[in-house]
Amino acid sequence: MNPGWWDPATPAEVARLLNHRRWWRHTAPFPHVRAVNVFRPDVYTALEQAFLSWLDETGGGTALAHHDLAGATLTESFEGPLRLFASAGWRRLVARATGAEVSQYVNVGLHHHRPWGDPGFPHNDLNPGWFSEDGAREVVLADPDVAYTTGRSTNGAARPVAQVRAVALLFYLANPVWQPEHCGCTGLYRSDRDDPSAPLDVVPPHNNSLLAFECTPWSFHGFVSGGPVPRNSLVQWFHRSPEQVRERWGDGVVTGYGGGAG
Amino acid sequence: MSRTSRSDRRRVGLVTDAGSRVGSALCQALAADYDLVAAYRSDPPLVPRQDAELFDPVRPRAAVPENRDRVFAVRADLTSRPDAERLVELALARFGSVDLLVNNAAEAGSRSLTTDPASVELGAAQLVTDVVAPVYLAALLATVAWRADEHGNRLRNRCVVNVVGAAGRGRGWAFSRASRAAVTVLSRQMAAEYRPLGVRVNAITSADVTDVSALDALVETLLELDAGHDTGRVVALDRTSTGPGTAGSGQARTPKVAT
Repeated sequence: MNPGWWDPATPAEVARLLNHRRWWRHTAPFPHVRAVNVFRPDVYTALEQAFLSWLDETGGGTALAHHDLAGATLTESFEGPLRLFASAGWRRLVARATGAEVSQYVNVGLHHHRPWGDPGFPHNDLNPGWFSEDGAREVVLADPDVAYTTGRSTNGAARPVAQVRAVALLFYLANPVWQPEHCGCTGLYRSDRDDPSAPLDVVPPHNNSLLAFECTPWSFHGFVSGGPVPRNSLVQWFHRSPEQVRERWGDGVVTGYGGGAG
Repeated sequence: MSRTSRSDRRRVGLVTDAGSRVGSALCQALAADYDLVAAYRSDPPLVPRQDAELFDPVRPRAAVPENRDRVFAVRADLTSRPDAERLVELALARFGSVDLLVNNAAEAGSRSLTTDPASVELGAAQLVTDVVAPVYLAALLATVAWRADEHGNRLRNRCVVNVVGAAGRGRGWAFSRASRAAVTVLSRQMAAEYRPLGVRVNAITSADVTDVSALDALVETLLELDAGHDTGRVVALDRTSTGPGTAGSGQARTPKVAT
């Protein structure tokens, strides 16, 4: 592969990394996209190795509040194949695939559920996210000087800008070959009152597969339950302005934290 | 015989356990030529359906030819009478009739009779799923649709195909073997009782369908049975069947009624 292959500028350049061009678009229980065998084997291997290197170096990152998992957020200093998910080409492709209009602000995280992790709960990911304002670049990642969930800045020079999650994407990787007894699935629900252990549909964490959806008041999903093996994923959110959210759904739809992709 | 002959309308098929590996394969094989109702218990079939379609992520608005033949997927636990009735109601509402009922019980499991008494209960449940539910579903169709349409049944060459899976020998296979034997006997009895309605009934006892060639053979056999004139035939894909009403001339024969 060419050096810098993980920085495609357009969907056409991303296409060269894909294993095939048949993804699934579902409407129930809410509109979402699924795909298996997403990337070419050599591309997936590079992504997996990058993830495993991070896991090895960090032990899985820091604990995430409200969730029984650990992780890390990619910032501009993060290098290597996983930056594919922070590329302009990937951003455009995912936005088109989900039919959502997104801004330049992207949060990319690496998640590690330890074995027998606690179940999650149905949530819609329609949450706020703060970045350091930057109108110049096509993709702007999380800034370590601006707290993503609160907008609190530790650097007087940073200008926090509020965004709202517009698209959530989970890419499963670096897991043991999945068997049903491994659990670790992402559940899809009709309501936030649904029993977390009884989703309407489940997305198994097959390596090199993804789940993506527009974050709406009804995009209820969650980590169904842990099992005897860890569950690893790359999770990312694309964003839109709060004004766009208000225009579409009115006031009061954006929820606070407790949330996070399952 | 053409699968779309005797009428300008496409044949309507109803496949059960459509979310299984065999069920999905049957849906894929039939969808191009049949209007298909795909009944599944928990996992829907991996084919384009009313709530799921394929698309090209690079050109997401471009038409994708695979979506042309979508199946109508219905979630139903066929061991539940209300679910079975709802399935038949939806199938008839959607397509007006059912020409081919595929009772798919092709994926068997093994359960020891001595390890845990609970496994006996599971085995009994397997008999309900593999044997009782298919007979009930066919009876429902007969009651609400076929009994009132003898002429249409013959014109459309309507058919039930009961599919039951491989059953090994020895420990763990008692219920699978029982299912297979029961489906074989019941299919022949059904053939006799459905004959006055003009509906044919046949069965396939399949080989190990984890093998791709076995799966292809099952699909091919199903299509042949649907297109043909036989009734009371039991095709054993792991060996040659010589049961009543079988083979050769393709003429419909009066099957022996089991006693």
